[in-house]
This record gives sequence, structure tokens and C-alpha cells, in this order.
Amino acid sequence: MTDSLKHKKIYDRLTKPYFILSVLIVLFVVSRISMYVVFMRATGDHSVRGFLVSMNKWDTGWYQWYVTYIGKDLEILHATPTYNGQAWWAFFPLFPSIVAFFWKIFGNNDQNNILLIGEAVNTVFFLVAEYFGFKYMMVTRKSLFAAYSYVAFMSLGLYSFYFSILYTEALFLMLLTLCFYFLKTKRYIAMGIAGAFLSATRNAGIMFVFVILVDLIEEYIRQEAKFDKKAPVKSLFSNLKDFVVTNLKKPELIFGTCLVPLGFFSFMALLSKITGDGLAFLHVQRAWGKNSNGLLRNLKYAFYNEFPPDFLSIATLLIIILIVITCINQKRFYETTFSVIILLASASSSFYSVPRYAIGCFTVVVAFSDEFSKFKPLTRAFLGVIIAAMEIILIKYWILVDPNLV
Amino acid sequence: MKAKNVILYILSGILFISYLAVMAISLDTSRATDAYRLYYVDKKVKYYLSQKDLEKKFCADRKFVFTSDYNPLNLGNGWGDPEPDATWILGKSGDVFVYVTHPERDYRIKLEISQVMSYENDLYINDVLIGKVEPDEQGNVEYQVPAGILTEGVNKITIRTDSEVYPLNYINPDATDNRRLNIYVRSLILSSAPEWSQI
Repeated sequence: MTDSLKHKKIYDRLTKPYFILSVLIVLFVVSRISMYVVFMRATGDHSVRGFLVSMNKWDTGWYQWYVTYIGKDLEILHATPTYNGQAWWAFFPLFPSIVAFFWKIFGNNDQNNILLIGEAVNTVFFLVAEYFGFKYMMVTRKSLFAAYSYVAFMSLGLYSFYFSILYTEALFLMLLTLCFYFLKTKRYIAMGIAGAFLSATRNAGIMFVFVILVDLIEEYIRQEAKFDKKAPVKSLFSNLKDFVVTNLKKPELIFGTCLVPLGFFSFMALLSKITGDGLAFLHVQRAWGKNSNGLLRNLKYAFYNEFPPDFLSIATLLIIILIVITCINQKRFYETTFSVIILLASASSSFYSVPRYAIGCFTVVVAFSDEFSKFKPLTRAFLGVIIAAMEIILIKYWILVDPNLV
Repeated sequence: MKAKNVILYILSGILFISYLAVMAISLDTSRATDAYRLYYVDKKVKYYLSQKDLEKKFCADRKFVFTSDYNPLNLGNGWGDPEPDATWILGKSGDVFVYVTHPERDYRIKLEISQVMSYENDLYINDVLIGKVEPDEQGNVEYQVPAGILTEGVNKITIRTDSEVYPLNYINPDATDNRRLNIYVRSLILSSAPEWSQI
């Protein structure tokens, strides 16, 4: 057998669905066992149930309550804000509705089972997300190493635990990955359906329409745009007109794009009926005391007023640098668009959630995996070890921190 | 054009128009309760209060004591945090919101002032000037509310100075307080006769 034929056979095997899924599951199991070991050593508690329950903190309390009140014949629709104005409509309804559905079937009406069912559901979402993330990497990067790097980072990398606990991270990642995958494979109606669910999961989901727009612009410039240097303004308008007409002639694209905001606007319509305010999900943020200083002002505050900066500020700066470098190197502006949107949205009030949202926004880790695959082996090994070690430290901090004391 | 494509275009059009309709309805918050709009939309009150509380507890004929014991949720913008004796207005003005069910009645408004800095303040109801805030020896300020000023629902009472209010440590270099202290208000009541005489 010739070398090229041998390589092709290995390549074919490595890209078979059963092989990819096997790798995903192995990586996932290894990472979750690592978390369990960290939990055991940090707390002295050896129970698996204890581990599964105690990983859920902060907003999981809200989601648990949310699921309970959806499960109780949609009592949530009559629920009023807490004493300090916090209300359930700050959280988009798709994820808790899915968990409530399974809780009604398998949960035995026991509230304690909500966390476990949520984790099981999120595990499925996460594995599906990783699988389609792999396929997306193969479609766009055509690099097996980059694709497997991506799934390794998602399972073993920073903030991976968020994709297992009762948060929306796993569902959002799965739907977002599907959106990107279907966009690049030009299955626009499937993209729209995934997008509709995406925008019902988090308000950031509606921003995917900008990804579609930038991708279409990029494609048009690459394939069809004609620029006349002697008449630049005229050719710009001519190209603009041609761009609009060309894309309007694609009914599946138009319909798929129109579908994306459906989840978002459906929630708005519901809130308008319940509260009289369709933007209630936005206005309720006041009760959490969130300011909107903006990224630049927060960066100045962290690196100038409050120097030296804390871990989260440094992480935010590194993410910004990563986005800039990968944009310059890879020139996938539609991916950069989404990374920037998520960064600006998450960093507008504080840097607290920036790393978590960056990891969960798909495009940042995809771009990093692409760069990572081009490094020298020693650099890759060094970075991989650093990232895995940092995740262990993060898990330990997550397990030990008491939200009531923060 | 294929039938499928026509259907897709029609559905796209329906979706787009629906989104515009939902957006238009969402921007109109007139169907939300007064308390909801005060806190979430207009951001006129410091603390969240329910519509039920607004109508039953922060209404006319109730004495609002602006101390930390009494949890005055109807304080609007411009106030500091309630303190053991009273609450400061920080800056040029402070609002208080009161729910009125019977605006046709005769009302009197009474303030208890604990301390005044050197600023001259005026009292307004729904942006209509009622009079000057000049406490008597007991620290009280009282006025008859002219007819037609109060409306059914939420009414705004404002104490305001036209002067620039400076930080205390700017006026008095020995002071450590850097807040812009204007006036220290202990209580307020908007009362309809004849209950007035019993408050």
C-alpha cells in the first residue's frame, strides 16, 4: 500500500462519525472525571451525587426555580418580581422549558432532580455541539488537527464545567454551532430553524443575523464584486445594488434569515402580554445593579485606575488580543463579528462573565484552535498543559467559592 | 417562480411585518403598571416597589418616614440612602412618589425637615411650584395643595434648589463627608382633609 493511500485510509477512519463521537465521549468522560477528582480532593466528599449537585452555583438557583414554576402548569406566567425587583424574565425561556419538559417525565416531581436532569440534558447538547463544531472546522479549515484541537479545548479547556451545569451555555453553544455549520454548508432553512431556537435561548442569539450579513458580504467581495478605481463611488453603489439583488433572489436565504429572530420576538410578544413591556428582559437588568460603562471605560478602570488588574481583566485583554490576531491571520470576518458582539455585550458592565461568554460563543475557541494547529509541537504541548492546569485551578475555585460570601 | 419560492417569500414577509408589529407594541409601555414603569422603564425610583405597595402603602394619607427603619421605597432619584434620623437629598433635587386615588379632594402637604444646608429649596408637585421650603421652629413645612394639580395615580413631589450644591468637604475643609448635601428630610405626608388634623 502506498503512503498516500495509507494516509487516506487513516484520514477516512479519523473522520468517520463513530470515531469522532468516540473521541468526543472519551475526552468528555476524562474531563468530568478530572473535575470529580478535584471535587473529592477539595471537599473530602466522595459521593457522585454530591459532586453533581454542588457544581451548580450562582444562576442555577434561578434556573431551578424557573424550571419548577414552568413545570407547575406554567405558574411562572403569574410570578411577580422578588423584593429587590429581580424577575424571571431576565432569563430567556427555551432552556428551562426543555429541562422542565424532561423533569415532568423523569423527575418524579422532586426539585432535587432538576439539577441532575439539567446536567444530563446539557451533556447531550454539549456533545452535539462538539460534533458539529468538529464538522464546521473540517468544512472551513479542512484540518483534522484543528478540528480535534477544538473538541479537546472544549472538553478539557477553560470553563468547560459551564457546559455541564444548569446554565444555558451548552444549549446556546449547540444551536450556535448548528447555525454556523448550516450557514457554511448553505442549508439556510436549517440555519433559520436553529437560529430561531438560538434567539429563544439568549438575547445574544439574535445577533447571528449580523454574522449572516457579514458572511454574505465577504462571499460577494470574493466572488462577484467588481471595483472600478476610476469611478469608485459609482462602482460602490453598483456593487451594493447588485449585492442586494443577488441575495434577494435566494428565497431560502431570505426565509432562513427571517427565521433567526423568531425566538427573540416571540419572547418579546409574551413579555408584552404579561408585563405590558416587551423589552422587560432588558429593563429588568436594573435590579441586578448592572451599569453600562462600556468596554473601553472598564478597561481603563481596570488597567489605569485600579492597577494592577485582576485575573478577569487580564483574561479580557488576552481575549481581545486573540480576537484581533486571529482576525488578521484568518480573515474570517463573519466569525470575528460574532466574537466582537459577544465581547462588547459581556464587557459592557463588568469583566465578570467575559471569559465564560467568550468560551461559549464558539468563534473564539474555533479561531484559537485554528492558530493552535499551526504552532510548533513544543509550543502546542506547552500551551495545552497550561490550559489544562488552569482549568483544574478554575474548577477548584468554582467548587470552593461560596456565592453567599461574594 | 416555483411555488415553494413564492411561499418562502410570503412567509418571510409575514415574519418581517410581525417583528415590526411586536417591536412597535413593545416600545409602548402604557399597559405596564405605574410601579413597573417607575422602577424599570423610567428609573425614577431608587428601589423596586410593587403596584400593590404603591397603591396601599405609598399613597395619600400615609406618613412617609425617611429613616432606615421604615424602608421608604417611594423615594425617587436624588436621595442618598436612608439614615437613622432622616435622608439627605444629594445634589439639586429629590423626588418622592405618592399614589392618589381621589385627586378631587382637598389636600395639604407637610414636610419634617431635620437639617438644612445653606441652599434655598422650593417645593413642587407634578412640576408645579407650591412654595418655598422654609422650616418653622419645629422643622415643619406645610402648604395647602392648589386644586387641579394632583392627578389620579402616581404624583411626583419634588424638593429642588436652583443653586449649585457643593460637596460638604468643599464648603468645610475640616469635614470628611464628600457628598453634595442639600437638605435632610425626615418625613412627608400628603393628606386629605379632614384626616389632616389627626396626623
